[in-house]
Amino acid sequence: MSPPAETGGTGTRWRRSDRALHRRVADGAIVLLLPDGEPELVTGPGGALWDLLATDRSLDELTAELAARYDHDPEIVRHDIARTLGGLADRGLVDTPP
Amino acid sequence: MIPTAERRLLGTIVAWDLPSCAARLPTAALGDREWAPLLTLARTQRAEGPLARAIAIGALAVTPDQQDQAFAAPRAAMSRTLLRERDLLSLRTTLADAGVDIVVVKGAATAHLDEADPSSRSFGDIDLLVHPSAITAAIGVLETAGGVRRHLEPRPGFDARFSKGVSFRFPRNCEIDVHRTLAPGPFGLRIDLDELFDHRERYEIAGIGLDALDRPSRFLHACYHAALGDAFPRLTTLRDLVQTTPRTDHECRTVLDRAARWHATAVVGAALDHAVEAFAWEVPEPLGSWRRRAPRPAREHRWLAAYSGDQRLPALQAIHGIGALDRFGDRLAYARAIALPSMSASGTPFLVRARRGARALARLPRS
Repeated sequence: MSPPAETGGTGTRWRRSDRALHRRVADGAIVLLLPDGEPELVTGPGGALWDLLATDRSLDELTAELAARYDHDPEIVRHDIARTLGGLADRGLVDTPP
Repeated sequence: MIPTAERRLLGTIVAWDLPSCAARLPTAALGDREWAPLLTLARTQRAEGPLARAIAIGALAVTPDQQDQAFAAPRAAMSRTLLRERDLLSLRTTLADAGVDIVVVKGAATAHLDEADPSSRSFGDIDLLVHPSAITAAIGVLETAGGVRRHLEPRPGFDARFSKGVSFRFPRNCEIDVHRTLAPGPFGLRIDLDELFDHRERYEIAGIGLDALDRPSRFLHACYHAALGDAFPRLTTLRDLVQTTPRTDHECRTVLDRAARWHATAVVGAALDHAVEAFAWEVPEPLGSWRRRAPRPAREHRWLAAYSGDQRLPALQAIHGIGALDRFGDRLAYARAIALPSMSASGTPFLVRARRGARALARLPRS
């Protein structure tokens, strides 16, 4: 499976947007995009993904870390991450560092 | 007054990860009769985060249903906190454009400066300290932005000269408190406001720079909040106090020097007593030694009695405020404003105010 086009391919590096405020909750993270966004709950593996995106990471790196953490098939994890990452990117919550 | 069982337990939960707190969490899950009031109290004390964290880490045993309830509670609290943080950043820009310099106080600052993870500290209001010279401009900006004052100014000029601050209500349950000083009544009137503004700590949210009080003043602010409010202070306020406690001899000297000059020695002593009682906290040295032999100035104790729990009497605080002012002209203006507010500002009939004043005067020492 290849990642969705919106994730920019395997070499692209991702991180949380500087404009995203966030707080941890027990089952994920609450995030809000400045200047006028509303709070959104990112749950489950999305919460773990959000934690990892504190620093720049590629899709390959994210896949390796989360597949090991959850002991899942890397191909399935990769597909789920790419889809979640695409959703976060669409909402401006993650971006690619210059 | 004796704290309830759920307050004692919540105090243990709020403090379990703090240094020098001898907190012992229960090893078995609570029954539903004990759990329900604990969860309600956690919400009113804004302690949903510490409760959920203690459960997530496995420090507090709960049933699966209790865990679901505890994990759901911080979502609303943290959503509200992020909305306030968003509003704060927007407001900072608006006020800066109007030439108003602000210092962020209470939760919006301590969450980032004094907690390892800001998720440990939720807040529901935005609290800003504004220099007296800029209070009128700040009020204008907030009124233009749609804020509605909770209380009118008793006399022209009172906001900038004497008040603790001005509160504004905005839609979506948002409250913004513009503080001129850190406490109401005589204690607030003795604080050196220029000194507060001269000692700040910078921090960032989303790359935007904000100013907070420096750590000694954050500690003193937590002390005022703990000692001058309810009989049982909010547990998050006491957590702020512990988290900002002086860490070095130099910091301790700075705190105690400011407290002495601001006539707040008794406030610090009373606030430390509250934290010790709620958290089984061993006050770190050298502050612990100071607490054991702390001077308790008589005048400060008379002031403190006007704020204490069920005996608190705002009219008596106001009367003590007259004595806290140095200049005769200030005393006269302050007394006139509290005794004879302008007709538009006074929502309370004159006779009711007169009765309150008489009750307050009756509480003054005879000598």
